[in-house]
Amino acid sequence: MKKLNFIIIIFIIFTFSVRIAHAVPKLSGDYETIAKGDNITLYYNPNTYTIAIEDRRNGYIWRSTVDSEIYNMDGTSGVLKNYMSSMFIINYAALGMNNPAIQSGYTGSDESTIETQKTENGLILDYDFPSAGIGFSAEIKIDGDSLVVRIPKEKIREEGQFGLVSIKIMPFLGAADREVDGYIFYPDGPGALMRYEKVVDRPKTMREFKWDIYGPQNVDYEEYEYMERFQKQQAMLPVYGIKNGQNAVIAIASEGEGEGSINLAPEGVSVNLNRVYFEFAYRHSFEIMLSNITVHGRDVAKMPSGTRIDRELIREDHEVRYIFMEGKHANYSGMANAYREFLIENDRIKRVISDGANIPLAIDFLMGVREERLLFDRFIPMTNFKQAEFITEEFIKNGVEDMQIKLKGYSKGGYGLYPINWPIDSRLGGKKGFRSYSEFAKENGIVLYMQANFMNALGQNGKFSKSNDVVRMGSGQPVSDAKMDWFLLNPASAYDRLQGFLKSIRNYDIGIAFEKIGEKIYHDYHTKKPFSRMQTKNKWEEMLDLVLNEKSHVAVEGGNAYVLKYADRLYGVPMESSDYYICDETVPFFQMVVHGMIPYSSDPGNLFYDDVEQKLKWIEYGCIPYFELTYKNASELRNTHYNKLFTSSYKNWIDNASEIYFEFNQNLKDIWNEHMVEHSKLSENLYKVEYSNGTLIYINYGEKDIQYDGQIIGARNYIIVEKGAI
Amino acid sequence: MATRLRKLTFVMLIILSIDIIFTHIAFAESKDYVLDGTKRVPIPVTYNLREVINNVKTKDGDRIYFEGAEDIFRNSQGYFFIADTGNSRIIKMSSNGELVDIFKDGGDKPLKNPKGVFADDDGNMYIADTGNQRIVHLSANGEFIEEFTKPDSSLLGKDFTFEPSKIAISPTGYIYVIRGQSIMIMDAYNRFRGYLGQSDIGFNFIDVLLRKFATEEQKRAVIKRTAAVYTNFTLGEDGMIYATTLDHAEGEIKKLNSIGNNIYRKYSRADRKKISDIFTKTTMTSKPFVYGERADDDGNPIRPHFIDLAVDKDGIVTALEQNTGKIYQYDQEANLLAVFGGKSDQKGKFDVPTSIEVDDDGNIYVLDRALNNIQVFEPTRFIKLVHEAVNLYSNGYYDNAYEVWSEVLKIDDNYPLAHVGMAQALYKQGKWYESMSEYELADDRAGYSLAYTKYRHEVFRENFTLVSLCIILGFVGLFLLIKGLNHVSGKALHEFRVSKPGRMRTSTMIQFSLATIFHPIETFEYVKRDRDRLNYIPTILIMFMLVVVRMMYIYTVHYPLADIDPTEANVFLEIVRMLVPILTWVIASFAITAILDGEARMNEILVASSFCMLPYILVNIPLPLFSQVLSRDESTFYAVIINLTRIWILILIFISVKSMNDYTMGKCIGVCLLSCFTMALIWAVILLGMVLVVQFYEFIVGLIKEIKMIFI
Repeated sequence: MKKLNFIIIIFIIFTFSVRIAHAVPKLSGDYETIAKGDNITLYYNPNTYTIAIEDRRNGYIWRSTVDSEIYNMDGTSGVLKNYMSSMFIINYAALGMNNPAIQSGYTGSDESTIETQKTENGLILDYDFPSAGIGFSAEIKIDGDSLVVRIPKEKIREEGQFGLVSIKIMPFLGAADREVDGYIFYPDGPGALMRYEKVVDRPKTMREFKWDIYGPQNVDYEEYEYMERFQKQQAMLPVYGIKNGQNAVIAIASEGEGEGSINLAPEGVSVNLNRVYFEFAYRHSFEIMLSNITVHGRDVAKMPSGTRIDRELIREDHEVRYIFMEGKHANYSGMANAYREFLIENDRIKRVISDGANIPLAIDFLMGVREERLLFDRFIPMTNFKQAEFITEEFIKNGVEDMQIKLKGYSKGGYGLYPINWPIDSRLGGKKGFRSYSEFAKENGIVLYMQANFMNALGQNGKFSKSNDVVRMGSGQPVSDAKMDWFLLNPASAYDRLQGFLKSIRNYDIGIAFEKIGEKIYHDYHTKKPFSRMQTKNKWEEMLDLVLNEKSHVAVEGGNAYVLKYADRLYGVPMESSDYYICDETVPFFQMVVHGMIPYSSDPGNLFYDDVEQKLKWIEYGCIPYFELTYKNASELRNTHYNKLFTSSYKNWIDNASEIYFEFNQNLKDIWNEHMVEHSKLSENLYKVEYSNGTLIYINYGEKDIQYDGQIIGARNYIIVEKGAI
Repeated sequence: MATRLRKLTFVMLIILSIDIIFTHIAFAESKDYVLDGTKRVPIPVTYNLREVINNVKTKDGDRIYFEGAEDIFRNSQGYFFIADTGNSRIIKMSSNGELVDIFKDGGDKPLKNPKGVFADDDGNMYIADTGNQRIVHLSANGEFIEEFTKPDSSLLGKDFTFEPSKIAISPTGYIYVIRGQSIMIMDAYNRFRGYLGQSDIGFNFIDVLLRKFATEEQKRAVIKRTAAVYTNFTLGEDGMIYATTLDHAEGEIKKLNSIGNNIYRKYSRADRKKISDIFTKTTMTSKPFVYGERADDDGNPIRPHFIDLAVDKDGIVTALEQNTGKIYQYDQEANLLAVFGGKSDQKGKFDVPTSIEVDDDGNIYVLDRALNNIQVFEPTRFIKLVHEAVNLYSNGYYDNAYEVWSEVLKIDDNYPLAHVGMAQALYKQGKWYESMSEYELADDRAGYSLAYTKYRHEVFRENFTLVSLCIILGFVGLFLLIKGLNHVSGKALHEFRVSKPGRMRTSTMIQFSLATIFHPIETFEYVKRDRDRLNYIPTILIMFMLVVVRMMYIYTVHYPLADIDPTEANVFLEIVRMLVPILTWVIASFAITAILDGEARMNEILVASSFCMLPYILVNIPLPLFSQVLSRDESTFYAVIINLTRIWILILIFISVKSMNDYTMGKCIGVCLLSCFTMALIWAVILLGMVLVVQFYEFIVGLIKEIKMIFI
């Protein structure tokens, strides 16, 4: 037996060593050692001006650019060669011109001059592009097990007619092809993987993909609408990861991430290498509208337009932190663990879930909604406060102890009329009903939220200034739909409104659930109160902080990284990626980072076609059970704008919801406050999730029983294996 | 170590034994929907993407890619045949996406851009070899058997070109080929056997005029109206030909029987009114039935361009719309079951979808010419239940269908067809009232009316005495009301006759206006004679009441008879509809009478015309109440009342013109006609003016924008 083991080990070592030797040749002598971290070493090649990082644990080399020794660059064009041998690429364009051409500058080409300066544990590279009149500097250093690349704002130099548009950071770090066993992780929705070997299953022609961090950089109604319609997700977390064989790296945009985007080019797009990288914007382009008088066309309906870039530079520090992993940590679970640790260390995530707490049942009550009619819109009271209390009591009678209840559509005009009005609609019970319900909730230990939207505004609702309170595009036009009815609120105005709202509910013990602010940030070209994306982000944080100063809890829709420090609950957290052709697997990366810290829910369970599948997915993704209910029947909603709630009567759902609550608390309570440390897909229908206390959960979505690790997992079922049980 | 090894092998074995097919379950908000009229009604997810076949695997591990593929066909053996048009070949694929064979040869010359393929139960292939203008018959292993070229027939014109694209072979051996406006039939001996399914283009008055009077050149310049073009077809297991067309008048999807008659649901032309209907028909709301949608996601108007359809073994039709990339699924009666799909760069969405197929398990295969892939969709539990219910219903198992529909409603409380199904079953059980409320939930007014008739019958029979009493009381009340009005208005007339000087009191004037009903000629004469004594408050009141009565009517008229839905009405439009015709009439009438030695002044005409509208108010206050007991069966009766009121109003207007201007009968008719013409003219001028103002406004706005841009 021992002999056999020995042979196997030798065999494994042999194959791996051959593999590594094949895939990653040793660094040439030109590279000199700059700094050493705990497990990694930073090298610099003064001839090519490129860096490389060695993971000393297994000798793997991460190169910042494509080495001609590894990748045959013969026959590639000059531009591509420059592209592949550049650590940084700048985009720039002429200022004040219509439709300026975006030009690129490569740090690996002759057009740039580089000055190198060594520091204590790294080096500073000063780049200058004389022809464009643009220069910047990159500070590279080793910090523990991570590499930090920083582009300080004060070192950006612009002289002349060109303006810096963006900088791409090390596009070819870790670039690999289909021969390598690995994948790229990108934070599309919950997270998704693009596996290198799956290139053969993809369409013949592919394109480069781009995710703007925290929501689209282009502020445009149609874009939002399109994303919503096709359920396209943004990057909620400013991270991406690369796994190459036994090594992996996670890149975190740790500063100025709101102006960043994640670009991913699959193998075959200009170069036969899979690559992913950050790009930071310094200027946005915006559409300018020209009237039809300048154009001699006859097409009156179509507004001819052009683009221009911002006059002012968006001066932000940008920093990327690369954390290296190897061995059994070299996968997306390892990346999630590393990112969670980073968030905890830097105090960027709050721990809400206390030890021993129950898993709460999340219920939304849709209270009122309006049906547009001939003379007067009809207000449909779906659930008034009395009825909400009645349903809550029924839940309590059933034995449900821990509930998080969210009220929507309580104000005049009902749900979906923004900005929200105060006071409470009298047809729902008015302030009196509200008070008695909130007191009832408090007595019974129920966490109660009022859902409020401080981002959207509808013209038909009024109560805001269409000139002063709304977000404007670069052209000076307000961001709006074709009917000029839908607007976004300027962040400063949103803040003022929140203050007013808090004053109104000063005497009630109730939390606020913010719609949308965990989903997007935007650039506002308002002349008096302009906001950059980062400033908007900071404003949202201030708003969350403001609520926390006065109220005990705050919930947020969406999960953009900046809300993790404040939110007591996240809702509307996606469980699906955008599902582009590069997506080979959707993974609960976001959930792995957040589980055990903040409770989160996804879509309501009553709107899915199969409650068993929904439950399994909730368990796999660690969501809290969540339903959106009403007292009246959903048929009342048929003619309203909210007819997507096609079944909601509490009578049909109360037992189902209670059962799920009990099931969750009976089976999953022990892991509720634990981190989700490993997630893996074992086979097409079987998933395994491991928690920080060692508990394992196997989930089988298939129609057949599966045996795994000596356990039988029933069809469409799950099992929980506590540590040491096997 | 040993145990671990055992485990490892065990795992490997398990992984191998697990069925490979895995559906990608989308755990996101559903974007699928059905239609209620033109309104979209969200429903749960109906189809999940199962897999995307971007290329076909060969046995050696190579990959075969498509290029502009136009057609996918699945035969009863379960093989897929893909017309890989751009590569001039046919790809035969197994159901798990592996290559079986590639066919390029077609006898004396290779295939050239084949656009369609058909295979029989044994795998014999018939290929529409479009580029070579022929149909090629290959055996299951690819041997050339025969070819069919342009048939020799004197019935086919000289300029007849034979470019087959979509073909099918009937079980009896006839070859069907799509040819423009019809389906051409050939037999196995390459002989022309006729056309099938040409749609009737109908009669058009303008065409007749053109034919009579236009010169040859003018005729040529005018685009010839032709019957709608067929885009694709498929043979159903029921022996019917299911086809997609561009026939936007009668229905884009057709189900042709053996003699070529369309027996699927038609629309539009059936609703078109005959002249004789004008008097007896009201415009009742029935949700307009169309195939596909007439607007895209952004609300821009489009015309559906169905490019292909697939029919499953139960006759459920799944049709592919190319402009929007949406898939519309209809049941045997052409009720819409689901809409899904769309155009996007994500999996499960399309770019230029060209062909659709369905297999025995209900999985849907969609071929995309631009993405060059096949996407496979699997039905969810929800849509499977819906299929089960419609199949049970169409086979006559109403009670079983009821059970399944209630399952469907557990998942989607608002699925309209489920409510129709419930209502039909309840109707069959004699539960009229329950049936009515289900019909109302489905917003099916015709069905509601049916159940209501039964319900009313029951109620009347049970309360016969009460009902008869109500009817008698109603008549007595009406009689007394008329008598009272007559008395009141007579008093007012008398007051005018006695002719005290000074302006009339408002109350008297209101009473006077009522005299229009009983003594119109006298009333209008007084209006002219005592023009100094007129009080305008009743006129304003009548105008106001017109609008109020209209609104009340919209809100209160009985559900099955309503011609407008309160949720869809537009206040502004209703006000315009009620008031603008009268006001323009006043202006037009004044303008014409002033020229043609009339005697009435503008203010008199205004007063008189407003009085003429009184019947509308008087009839439309009780009418909605009365309508509460009417069903659609009595709609003729109801329409007659409405139309009599209209005629009454027109007669009053005529009398007012005649008596106020002292015209002869002939002259009065002429003046009225001229006034009507003037009204039309006024509207035309106003419209023109508005267009100009809008243009000018846009110009100014554009100019300001342009100037602003300079300062950015």
